[in-house]
Amino acid sequence: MSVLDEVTDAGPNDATPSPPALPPDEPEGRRRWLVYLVLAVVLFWTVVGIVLFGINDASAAGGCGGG
Amino acid sequence: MAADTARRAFLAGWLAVTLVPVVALALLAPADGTAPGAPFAAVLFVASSVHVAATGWFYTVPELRPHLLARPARYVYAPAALVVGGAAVAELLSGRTLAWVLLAFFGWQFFHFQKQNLGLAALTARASGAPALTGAERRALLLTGTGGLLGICGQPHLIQLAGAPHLAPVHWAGAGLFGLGVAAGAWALTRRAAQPTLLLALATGLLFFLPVWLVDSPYAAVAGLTIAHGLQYLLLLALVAGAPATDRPLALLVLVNVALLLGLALSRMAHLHGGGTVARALFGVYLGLSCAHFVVDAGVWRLRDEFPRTFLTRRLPYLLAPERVSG
Repeated sequence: MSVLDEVTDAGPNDATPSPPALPPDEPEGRRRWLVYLVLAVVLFWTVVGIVLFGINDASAAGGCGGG
Repeated sequence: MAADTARRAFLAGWLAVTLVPVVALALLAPADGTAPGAPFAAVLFVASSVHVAATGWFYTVPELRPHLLARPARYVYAPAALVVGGAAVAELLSGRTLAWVLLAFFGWQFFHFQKQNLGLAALTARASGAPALTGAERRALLLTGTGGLLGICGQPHLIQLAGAPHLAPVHWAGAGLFGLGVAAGAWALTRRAAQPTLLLALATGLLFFLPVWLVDSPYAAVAGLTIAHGLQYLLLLALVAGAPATDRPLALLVLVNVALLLGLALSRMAHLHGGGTVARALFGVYLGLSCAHFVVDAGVWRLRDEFPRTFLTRRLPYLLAPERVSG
């Protein structure tokens, strides 16, 4: 008997059974942490890149000023 | 109460990130035109390359992407055409001809600066419950902005643009337009009820380009404007990305990643105009991406359009849907 059948069969004075708690959405949670991990790694290497390559001489107008 | 605090913090924040760099650089930058030092280079990197790159964040927002793709002319084709066109121009042109193109590019850039100042003044009016900016106030702001861009482009040494002609009449015609705009703006302000924050916001926008005629060093005259514009933009974008209604940590992490990674690439490409074929093409891509930033921004923040208004109001309700101030 499904949850829906149980609810349908219950009389008006019966206590309505609570739907069973859903299991935690583990794949979604894992995917989320994976996205965080990838972003953190990319951020780390970007900062390393900035430190290694340095920033070009600053131009007053930004970007291609100084040409 | 929390909304009121957030509103006040934003208004104080945008005025601070505008006034502090403009005034500090105008007063403190070395008069001989040398750059003020390494920390300054880092700030300029964030306020120029990183702020342009941050526009890419809009394309990562699932809620916004259908809107962008439904208007491919502005958000897909124009950016692509600008990148391809920029690469072709940088490849085909050189010397004085390229300098003229760059002068036009910078003219567009400084007009874009003033459009943002106008937008921030309009946002301040809305956030403080004051009547919207009038046509006269908008025209005055655009007039001072046009004066500012002419003032800068008439003296290309202010943007360190080698090979471009010095056009003193253009520089001083810009001063005339700027003065006219300030006078028109001041007249328009006299017709407004005194509201200190809004008056300060409008005065900041009207006088934004003043250092162009007061000081002669590129860093004193222009770098403050560049930093102010970039920091204004990043402040607004951080508030939109980090709005409570969103997955805040993820959105902010994506924003920082996009802005830094693409910003680093832009920074590397920005000075390749003197290189070989590939280097020059990459320099053109840099120009195209910067222009794409101008085009995308002109649409995505436009509050007259329903979708951007709804999107931004949901994220910044304390600025865009405040309780009206009576009287």
